[in-house]
Amino acid sequence: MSWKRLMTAIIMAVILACTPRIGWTQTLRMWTMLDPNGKDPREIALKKIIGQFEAANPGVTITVEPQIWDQMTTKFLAANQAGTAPDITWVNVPTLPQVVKAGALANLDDYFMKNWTARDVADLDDVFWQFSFQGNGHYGIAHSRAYAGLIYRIDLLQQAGINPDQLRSWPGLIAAAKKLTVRDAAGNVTRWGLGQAYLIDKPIEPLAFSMILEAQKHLLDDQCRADWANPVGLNAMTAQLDMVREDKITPPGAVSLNVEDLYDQFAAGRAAIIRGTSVRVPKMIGLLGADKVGFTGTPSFAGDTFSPSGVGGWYVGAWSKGKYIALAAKFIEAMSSPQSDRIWSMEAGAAPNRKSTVAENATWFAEPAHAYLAAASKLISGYSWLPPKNCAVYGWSEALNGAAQAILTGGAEPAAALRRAAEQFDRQNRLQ
Amino acid sequence: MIRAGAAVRPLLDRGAPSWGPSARGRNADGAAYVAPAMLLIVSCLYLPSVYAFFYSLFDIRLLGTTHFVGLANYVFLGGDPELLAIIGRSAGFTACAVVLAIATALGVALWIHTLGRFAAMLCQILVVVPWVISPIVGALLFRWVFVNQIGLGLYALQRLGLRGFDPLSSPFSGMAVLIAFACWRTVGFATILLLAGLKGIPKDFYEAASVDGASALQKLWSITLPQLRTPMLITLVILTLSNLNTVEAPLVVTGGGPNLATDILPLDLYQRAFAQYDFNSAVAMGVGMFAANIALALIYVRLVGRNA
Repeated sequence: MSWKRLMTAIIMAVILACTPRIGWTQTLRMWTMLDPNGKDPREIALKKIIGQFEAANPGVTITVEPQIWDQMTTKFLAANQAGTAPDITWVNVPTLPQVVKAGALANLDDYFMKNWTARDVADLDDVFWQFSFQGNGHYGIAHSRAYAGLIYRIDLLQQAGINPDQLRSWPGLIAAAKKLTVRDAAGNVTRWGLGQAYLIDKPIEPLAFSMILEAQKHLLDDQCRADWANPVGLNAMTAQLDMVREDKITPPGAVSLNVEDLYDQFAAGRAAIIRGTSVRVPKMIGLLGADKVGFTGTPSFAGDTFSPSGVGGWYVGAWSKGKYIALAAKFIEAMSSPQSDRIWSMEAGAAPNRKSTVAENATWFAEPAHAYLAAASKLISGYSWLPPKNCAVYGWSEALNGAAQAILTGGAEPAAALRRAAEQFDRQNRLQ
Repeated sequence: MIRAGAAVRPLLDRGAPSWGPSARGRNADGAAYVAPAMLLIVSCLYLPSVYAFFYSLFDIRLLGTTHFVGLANYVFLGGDPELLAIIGRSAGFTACAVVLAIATALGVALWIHTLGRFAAMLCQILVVVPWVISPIVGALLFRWVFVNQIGLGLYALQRLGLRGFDPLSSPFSGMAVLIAFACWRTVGFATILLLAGLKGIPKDFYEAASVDGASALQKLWSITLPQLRTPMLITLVILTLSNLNTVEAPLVVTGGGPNLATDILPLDLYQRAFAQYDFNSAVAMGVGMFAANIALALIYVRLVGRNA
């Protein structure tokens, strides 16, 4: 009898020990290109934010499944079809309309955003926030926001007596880059004034992109088709390529460079100014020092302002068919809280999402080592471009770079090259 | 009672033990042995291919079938003004890379064949390294040598007086670099195969030729090359398949440029799917490439069968 009681007690104890786990443990899977076990500041920040969320929500575990960034969105769409997508995913910014159209993301308005005050919304309201509104609600919050501008060597500009404000106009940029281009006794260029990348693979919005946007305010027409095979586009492309052919401030080898090569050249001291994104500035600062790396917007014809430029980044959203959508949404909200925004920006060097983060920490953001963050935030708010929300199109940088290559290495007529690039863009996006 | 002679007789008559399984039974056993491997191959390779072909008949812009479009994706792909140029470049790249790799490998194999055991082993290890290291790592190393301004190769060229020469900036030299990379990566593998073929040639042939007064060139032409026909054919088909499907080489080394000069089929497929999100034409192209691969594999099987 006592033996039976002992066995019953053991079984009950086991059941009781297991019951809370069975009932309360919830594991959320997340796809991102960041590995929380990595050493990148953003990876460390993600690990910290996950830790804080798990501590505040006992029984909840966030499992990160790191992905290759350029295949992640495609893989998510495929997993959505297969029913194996993660609860939370990071979606490449320009692909959001397509992902929403596929019904793969949950409308976050239905979860936490409906409870936000006008002040909360105003704190986040910018081009990313507006782009995340797709028809009937917001489908993600942008993170790792990047702005395509100019990264320059502060020390080299100082040595050459160049005020960074000079970089606000195209003639100013060209004059500065000419001063910064250095040749050795044999005539070989040892340092280029302005590094650009015209390779189709791993592109960055070329300078002509910003010139076109400044001049005609749009890149695509009402039907989302390319609208650069015109006199404005021709002027922009000519001005961009004259920096190689006439001004000789950009190497002809730009046709074989991608944006990653530009960062390498900048870090190696082979280029004084490069076309680059704000997210790479911390890395450059880490390599060269905060007193040597500056970030600014893209010059304009007007000269007293910046021209519009491309933005990139990742929308963090919840899978629409996930088991724990509400919990996933809760984590997405936590990732974007004022506290998390401080971690992302002040510890990981990402451009702040919230205006309040900059306002409440004005002194910190004014320090030379962090000035680029405030600059990026301001540029994103005032001088950025994303395609119209009804346009699920891609490949404008690739197309414009293709035209640049055709002109520089293929000897194509600029007008014909732009026309061909526009046709190819329309064709690949099925807009013909 | 069983007599010993009765048991041995069938063995002598039919060449197989009477107590063993029948031919049908042996076939069943063989099928059972290869079934797991075949199941794996079918499920990992052929089923996705069938699935891809099925999908290629639909509009799959959002990675989900929306509506049946028949062969429209193939028609759209066929109407791409760049397609013929891409196919031509792919064929040219593959042909040049394979011929160059086999020619180089033949020379290297002949040389290694003359070396002593230790030196030959050391050389084999050296030449096979590019084949065994990760293709991406190899491609990155190669790009770093030739990327303009900071590449070691360009620095060396500048020191040799070739100032301003940037191989990745012109369509012709860009393709040459890509072919050189493919050759560098595959020559070790080809060398090993050809070396194995060389070791299989009886020494008597050469001794008889020497007695007849044949020169080294005559021996090469009349003995070595004919005897190496099978390994060379196998190498040719394997390298053709390898180069026809390589995406890491153009993606990392040249990025498809300049001016699309190195944009070959696998890279174009990758760009369509993962950069342009044009899955319709990417799947159609993938099915076409799969068919080409099957055709090459059939040629390979026939060649091996004919020369075995």
